[in-house]
Amino acid sequence: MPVTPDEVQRVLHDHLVNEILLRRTPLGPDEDLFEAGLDSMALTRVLVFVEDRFGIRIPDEDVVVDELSTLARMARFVTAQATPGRT
Amino acid sequence: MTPAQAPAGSRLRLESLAARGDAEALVSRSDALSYAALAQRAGAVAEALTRAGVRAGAPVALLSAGRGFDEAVALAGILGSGRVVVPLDAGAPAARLSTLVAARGCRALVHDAAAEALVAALIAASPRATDAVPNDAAPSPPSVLARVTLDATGEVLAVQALDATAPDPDVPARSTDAALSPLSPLSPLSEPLACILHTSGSTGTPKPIPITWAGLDAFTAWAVALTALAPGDRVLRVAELVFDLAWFDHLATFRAGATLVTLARRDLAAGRSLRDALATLKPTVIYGVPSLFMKLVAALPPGALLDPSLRVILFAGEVFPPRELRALAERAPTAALYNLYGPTETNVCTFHAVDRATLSAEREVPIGIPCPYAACTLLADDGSGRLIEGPGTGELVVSGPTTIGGGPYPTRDRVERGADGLLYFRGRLDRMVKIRGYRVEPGEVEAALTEHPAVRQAAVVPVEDPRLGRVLRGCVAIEAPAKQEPSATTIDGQVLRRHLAERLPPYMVPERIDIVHDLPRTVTGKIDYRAIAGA
Repeated sequence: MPVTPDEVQRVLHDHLVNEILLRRTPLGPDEDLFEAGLDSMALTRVLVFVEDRFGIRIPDEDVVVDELSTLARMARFVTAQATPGRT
Repeated sequence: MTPAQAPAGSRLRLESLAARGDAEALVSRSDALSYAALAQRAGAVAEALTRAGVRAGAPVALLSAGRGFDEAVALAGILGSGRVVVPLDAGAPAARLSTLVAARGCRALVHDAAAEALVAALIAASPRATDAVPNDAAPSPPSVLARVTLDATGEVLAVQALDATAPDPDVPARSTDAALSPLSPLSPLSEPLACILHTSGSTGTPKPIPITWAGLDAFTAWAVALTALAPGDRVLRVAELVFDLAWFDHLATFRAGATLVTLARRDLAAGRSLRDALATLKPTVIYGVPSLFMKLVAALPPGALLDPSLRVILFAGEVFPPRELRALAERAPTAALYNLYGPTETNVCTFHAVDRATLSAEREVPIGIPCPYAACTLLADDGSGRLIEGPGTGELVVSGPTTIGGGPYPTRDRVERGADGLLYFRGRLDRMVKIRGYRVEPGEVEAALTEHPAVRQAAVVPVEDPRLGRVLRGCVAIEAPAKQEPSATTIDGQVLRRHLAERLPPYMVPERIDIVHDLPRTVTGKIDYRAIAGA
C-alpha cells in the first residue's frame, strides 16, 4: 500500500495524541516526543501500531531513537520503512 | 549490626565525597565530574536549601527531567546535608506529583531546568492537591515551595526562597511524624530517614515507604561486597530514582568510590540506543529489570557480544524467563549474573548467583538465599501461623534493618523453599502485578477510574500481550444514560484512559478499557476477573 509522508504523519499524530500520550492538545511536528512523555514502553507501543497499520515489520536493530524523537522524524522513518524497494 | 551501632560513615557525607578528590564520580558521553567537584556542587545545593529557609531534616522533593549530572548532585546535596529525599517521577502527571509533595510535607523542590514546565504544572495543580488531602496538620501547598533549579551539570541556576509568611509545618526528620500519615499510616520508626519512596497503593493512593539510613547502610555494604565494587568500576545509571533499584546506582557507587555513568532517558528507550550507549560508555556493572536486558539482547546483531568490560549484571523487579536469561548470558560470557529479590518495603532480601553451568537445564531462576542482614521465614498459608522449616511453600515474611519498621513484614509473595534449599517465587497472595518491574495495585487504578462521574464500578486485570508483554486491561460498568448529566459526553475507552493519564503514571494506565453495563460475575456473584482478562 503506497503511503504519503503527510498521511503517515497524520495517522501518527492522531495515534500519539489519542492513544499514547493521551493529551488534550495537538502535537507539533518538531516537538520532542521524549520531553512530551514518550518512554520505552510507549515507543514499543507506537512501533507495534505502525507495524499493524502499515503492514510492515520493523526489526529491533533498525530502531534508532534519534530518528523517532519528533513527529516529523518519526513520519519520515515510517514512510521510508513502508516504501517498497528501500535498501 | 543493629542500627544504633551503625558507624558514622553510614550516611552520605560531603566530606567523604570530597576526600576522593580527582577520582571520577560521574561520567556521561560528553562530560565528567570528579568527586571533589561533585562534593562542591552538592554543597552548593545544600547551601541554597539553607538559604531558602529549608531546615536540616526536612523532606525535599527531587525531580530530574533530563537526568544529567543534576540528579546525582541534587541527591548528594539533599542527603549530605541531613535532609530527606522525596523523589518524584518525571513521567507522572503533575496532579499526582503535587499530591505527593503536599502529603509528604515537602517545603522544597530541587529540580533541573528541563523540568521547568512540569514544575509549573505541579505548582498550578496545588489547590486541587491540598483539597484532596483531608488532613490539615502536615500538608504544605506547593505554592509555598522553596525551589532550587540546577542546570544539567548540577550547577545552581536559581534559588527561590520559602515564602516567609507561610506557616512552618515543622516536620521532623523521623518517620514517626505526621508527614507520613496523610496518605497511609505506617508503623512507627525511630530511625533517621534517607528518603521516602512511593509505590502503588491498593486503597487508591500512593503508598509511602520510608527508607532508613540503617537499611541503606546494610544493603550497600552487602552489595559492594557481593559485586566487589571498587574505584575504577563504572556503574550504569538505569532505574528511575523513585524505584529502589536506583539507590544501588548512587549509594553503592559512592560508597565504593566507583564512577556513576549517566545516560539520558531516551538512551534507555530502545534496545539499539542502549546498545550504542553501552558501546561508548563501557559500564562494568548494570542493575536493571529483565525487560531492559531482553530489549538490549534483541537489538544485538547475531553473534555479537557485549563489551567484556561488563563484569556484573544484576537484575530484579520481575521474573527473568530462563530462555531470555540464557540469551543474555551468551552475549555476556564473562559477566557474573545475579537475581536480586525484595519488595521496596524490605529492599533486597534474597539473592541468587546464576550458575552458568546449570543455566541451560534450569526451568526457572530461583530468588535464591536470604541476604545476611535479612531474616526470611515462610509462613504457612493455611492460617495456622505455622512456620515452614524445611521444603515447602508459604508467604515470605522478612525482618531486618532494611525492612520497613525493622519487620516482620509479610510480603504477600508466595515463596517455595525447594529441596535444594533455594527460594522460588510462586506468585502473589493478593492482586498486585508487575508491569515492566513497576508495582501496580489494580485497586489503585480501579479507584482512579471510579473517580470519573460516569463510572459505577471498575475492574483492572493483567493480560499477556504477545508483543508488549504483560499489560493492564480495564473493564468498567457505567451509569445508565438516564442517570448521567444531560451534557455528559460519550464515554469510551479513550476518554477513560485520558482521565487516568491525568492522575496516574503511564505504566498504570491500561492498554484497553472496555465499557459494559455490568461487570462479569462468577456464579457466586464476585467480579469475574478471569472473564475480563479473557475477553
